[in-house]
Amino acid sequence: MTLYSTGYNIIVTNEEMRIDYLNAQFKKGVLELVVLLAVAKKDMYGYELVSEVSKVIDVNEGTIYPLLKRLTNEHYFETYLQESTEGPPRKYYRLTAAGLLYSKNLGKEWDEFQSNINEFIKETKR
Amino acid sequence: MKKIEFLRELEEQLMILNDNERRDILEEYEQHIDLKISAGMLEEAATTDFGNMTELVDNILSAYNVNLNYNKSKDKVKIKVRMENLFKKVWSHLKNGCKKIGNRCKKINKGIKNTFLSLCISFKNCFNKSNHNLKKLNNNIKNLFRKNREKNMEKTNEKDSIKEATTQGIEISRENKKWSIINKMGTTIKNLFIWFYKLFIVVVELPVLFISVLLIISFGCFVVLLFNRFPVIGILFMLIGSIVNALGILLILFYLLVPIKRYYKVILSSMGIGLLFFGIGIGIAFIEFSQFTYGGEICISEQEVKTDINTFDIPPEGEVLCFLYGANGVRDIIADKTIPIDKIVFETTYNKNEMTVGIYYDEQEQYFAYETMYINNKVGLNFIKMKDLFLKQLNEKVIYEIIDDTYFVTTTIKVAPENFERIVNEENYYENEIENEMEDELEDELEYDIEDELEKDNLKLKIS
Repeated sequence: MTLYSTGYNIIVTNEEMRIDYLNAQFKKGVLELVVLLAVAKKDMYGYELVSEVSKVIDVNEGTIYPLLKRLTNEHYFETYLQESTEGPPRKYYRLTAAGLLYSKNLGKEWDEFQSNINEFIKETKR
Repeated sequence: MKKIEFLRELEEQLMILNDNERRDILEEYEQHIDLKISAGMLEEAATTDFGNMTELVDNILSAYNVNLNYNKSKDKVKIKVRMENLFKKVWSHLKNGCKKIGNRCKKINKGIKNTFLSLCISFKNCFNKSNHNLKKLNNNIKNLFRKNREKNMEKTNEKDSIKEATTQGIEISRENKKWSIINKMGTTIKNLFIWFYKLFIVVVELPVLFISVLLIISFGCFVVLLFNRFPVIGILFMLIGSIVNALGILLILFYLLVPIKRYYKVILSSMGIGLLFFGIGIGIAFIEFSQFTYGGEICISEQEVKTDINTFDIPPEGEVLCFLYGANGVRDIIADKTIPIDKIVFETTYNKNEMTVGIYYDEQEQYFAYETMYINNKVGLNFIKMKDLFLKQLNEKVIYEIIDDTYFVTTTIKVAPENFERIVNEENYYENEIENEMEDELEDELEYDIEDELEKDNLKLKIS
């Protein structure tokens, strides 16, 4: 309630909200790459993948499953069932050839992008 | 939110998706939540991590390139949800009703519910298990083939790879051998159920199909009649309404049979319009037919009758028995002076298309009776007669009372005035005689009993 009592606070909250929003956008952009790379390293099932990705970026679980679905629909991933020691069989995700190519291209793009941005930041700091 | 609530809500929101896809998604989410719970998380915390439900749904649906304005089509979804939740609702209503009746009912209800649920769960588990195992088997085989193919394509270490693959295959087959029989049984039972369900729907659908075809044919007939200035506008309206309804029912049944896109809203609204048409048709038909007048009785067979005249001798004294009970029997007994005293004349009228009728004299029992021979019926003729009459009525705006007496026989007996009293044609002549005899016998027995008792009394008196 106090947030809206003074003009100053409103500015702060707006800024926080803006940063939150942009942060979410960053994550959204990079999430696809992270997921692709994680699966390229090793075939994984949903829960495993979520915990793996969560180590790198703090991301809502709700966004990862739809992403997996979309990547599967676009034939970058394929799925298969494998028996687990406990509970029902798990659905594993595997990278296809198309997915591998795509992840490589995306990684290249990311490298270029982030190096450009970093250089620019360094320049501005001087 | 609890796990079950979460999954149910997700399911309802994702109704727009194909059944298989939806099940796939839900299974994955369920598994995820289960794993989280087993990792020591609270059930409610596990579901809240998925964030806002609408956002989640939007995310999922965007993966399928679904238009996110799906809310517009929520009515369709609602109908589907309603149909699928119908069973649950019925169950809950039953439960509430039982609660009101009393505590005993409550206990019984609980028992029933528990057994039912456990049955359901065990069935579900059985199916799931068999499904999972089948999928596993399939995947293993697929993997085997894939590995084979990849290795073949590489064209290096060919022989080794084949050896590996075959050994793997043997191991897998050993693993799955014990499951294969249970799998087969599970899948066959499931398939049987599905086939029975489909068969049932087909059985229901066939008569509806037949009726709708008949309706369409009669619609064509009445359109032709309309052009010939018959007053059939009301009937036509009624037919349109019923055709629309029959087609709607057919489509709904078809939807239950085949998984295609379903337009329940359109069909239900069109069926409403059909009902409206039917009602309007009834009104118009009522007004049209209220102008009709009554034209009296018509006997279809009376148009093809034939009259035979038979003459017989009769004895000078005693009753003359005639047992002439056909469809119409004896119409008249006439005293005619022109007929000699020792003669009797029968004028028999009958439908010559259906039978031949003669009269014979039974010399042993001494009575007159019909001797009837039925000709093989021409069924089509009757239908055509009925049709002609129907059209005649419509055209003349007259309603006849139709008597369809195909076995039409009447007789007129003519005798001299002196013999008029001697003619007997009672339907229960013999029955009356038998009754009379019975009564006599009864009286005799009674008298005999009384005499017996009197004698006994006398004996007793003597002894004492």
